[in-house]
Amino acid sequence: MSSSDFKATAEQLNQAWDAAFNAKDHALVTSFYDDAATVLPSGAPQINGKDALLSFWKTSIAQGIIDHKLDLIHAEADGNLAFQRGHWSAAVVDAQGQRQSFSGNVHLLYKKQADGHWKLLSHIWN
Amino acid sequence: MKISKVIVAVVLLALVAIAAVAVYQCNAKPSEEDAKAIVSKLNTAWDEAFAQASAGTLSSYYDANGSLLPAGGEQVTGSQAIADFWSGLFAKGFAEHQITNVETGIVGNTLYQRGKWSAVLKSEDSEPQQFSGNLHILYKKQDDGSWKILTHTWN
Repeated sequence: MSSSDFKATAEQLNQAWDAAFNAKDHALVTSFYDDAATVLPSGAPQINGKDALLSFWKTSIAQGIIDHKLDLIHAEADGNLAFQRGHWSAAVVDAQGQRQSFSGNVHLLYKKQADGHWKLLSHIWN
Repeated sequence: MKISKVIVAVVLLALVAIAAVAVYQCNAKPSEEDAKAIVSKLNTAWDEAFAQASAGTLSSYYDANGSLLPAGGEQVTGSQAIADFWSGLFAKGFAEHQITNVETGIVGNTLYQRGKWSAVLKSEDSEPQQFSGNLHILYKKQDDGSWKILTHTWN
């Protein structure tokens, strides 16, 4: 797979990830990760494996994080590994109804699965 | 005649064996242990260049298309921009950078590690401040066999 092919794939993966998160479906979000995946959150210890990821995304969604958006900057594939670097943004609405926006850099590493799908092996942002 | 035929046969067998070993070594997948050893050396060299405040040496550890994804800053791509970024941190007083590897993986010409980083900010008018967080580094194998950083992300 060429890197330009993977760029199109990564755009689709971003849309699916954002749609699942914004639909508050933590199980669907978690399904986009490899069984051995790790999330490296900003300001918190690293999270490994499906069960831990399920509760991490459940908690994040319950905290009221909305409008998550991934914007791809660059993507490349090398055999069964691929990555993209990009920007993320999201918002929270506090008890007073004030909207606060957050954003930063994001790096996503993917592993090709036996069925040909790409799943996240690591997800780090700042 | 008979002896020389035997010698030729032995020499041919030896050549076939050497070729077989060479092919095996080229195709043998580096183990996680090998990858860990590679990453350990790369981390030591990186932290050492940081300790010497050598932005030029640090930037030489990145692929020509390497990128930094800094916490709280825009992404930085290319050798000169990367050298300037680290120069800027040294000017602010950042020192004692340490990378601690947690997990390493290697697939073909791509190597990655996730880990932790820490550093100390030393300035004349305040106490030293400790910073730390998570780190992810992706490396690309170069034509000369060395590994250089394609992406370096931290928070």
